[in-house]
Amino acid sequence: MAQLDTGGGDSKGGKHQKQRAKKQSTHIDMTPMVDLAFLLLTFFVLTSTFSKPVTMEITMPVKPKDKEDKTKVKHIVTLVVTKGDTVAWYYGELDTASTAPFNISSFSKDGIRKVLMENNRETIKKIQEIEKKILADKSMDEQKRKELYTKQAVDLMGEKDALTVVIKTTDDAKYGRVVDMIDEMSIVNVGKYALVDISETELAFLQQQKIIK
Amino acid sequence: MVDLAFLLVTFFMLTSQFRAEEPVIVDTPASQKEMKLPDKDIMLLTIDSAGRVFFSIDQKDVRIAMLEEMGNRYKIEFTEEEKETFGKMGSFGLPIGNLKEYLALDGGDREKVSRQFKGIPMDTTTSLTNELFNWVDAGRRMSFNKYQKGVLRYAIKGDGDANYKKIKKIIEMFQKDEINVNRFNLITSLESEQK
Repeated sequence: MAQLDTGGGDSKGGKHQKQRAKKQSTHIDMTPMVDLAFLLLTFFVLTSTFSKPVTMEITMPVKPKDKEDKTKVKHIVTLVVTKGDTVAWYYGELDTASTAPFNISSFSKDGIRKVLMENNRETIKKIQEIEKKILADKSMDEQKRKELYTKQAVDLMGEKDALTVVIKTTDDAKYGRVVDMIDEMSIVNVGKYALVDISETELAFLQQQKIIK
Repeated sequence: MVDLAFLLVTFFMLTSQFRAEEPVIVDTPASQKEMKLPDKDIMLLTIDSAGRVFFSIDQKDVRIAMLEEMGNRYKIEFTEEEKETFGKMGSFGLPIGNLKEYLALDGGDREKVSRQFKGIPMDTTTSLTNELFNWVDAGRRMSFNKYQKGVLRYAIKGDGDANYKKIKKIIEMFQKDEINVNRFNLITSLESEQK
């Protein structure tokens, strides 16, 4: 395939050859080169674009130097991620008088997400309202609308009566499950959440309820 | 059309970056966050499903300076050649005592050998026995020397099956007064469909 079109004619005399050389066609068969170019193109297209990782940013609470720095938050859900496929949770303060203070939910859409959504419905409703309002406002361009929406949503999620979620884990919990829970926070519009160490009392109740061994 | 094809080839060749060699395959948990990790100034800690920790930091000059600093702390001399190899390397997870022989290997062997190591040794102290702490500390200091302070980001790339306790320990190490970092980037893979 790939050869120069030199034309035939070895049998011709010297004079003729000189003339021929001038008239030689300069067309080269480029098919293989183009094939190669496309091959490379495909290779680079496929390898390059997918390699950028996505990330979720978390800020860990700074460990308080003195232990008295406990602020009373009323509207709060505490989640405990355990080894199994369920998550234990309770609303408000741990009810030590009860024999079974922990509720159990699955990680699925109808499980813990529903619980969080119900507890956070006021904020979700407000956020949906401002979303509607901002979308209807055609005086701004899309970029500006998006910025405004994000800002107002963040403000709403940070409000005093918005839901706070505390995520606790047992020692054998899977990292992937913890990430799932953090991800869930953004799905259900919870702006105030923190990863906190589990307390002895909670561990004892989990054991009592046979959620952990 | 051929011109265009070549143009595109050139473009992709110049813009694409090859992924740094990774010693382990880590299956990151999925999330719906769409924030992209910047490709510069990253200190990356990789934790595989068995709980082994691998360390990496970008920028060749920072890596070389970090290796020198670590050499000083652990009283190990590294040759220029070893520094050069280290500068180009990706993540690694082995005790610093094994680093010299590891650097002497060529790329393919290195990948094989790194599977046998148990990750970078760590404990809860800030002394020399906690090698991970020293790597993080040295890398951080060197990055601040060479570049603007505070631009370095701390990324944690954990396998979804890894034990959270291990990651918690690493986060606690970062939160110690000597390092005092409270903001992390957890690397996840993009979950395309809405659950």
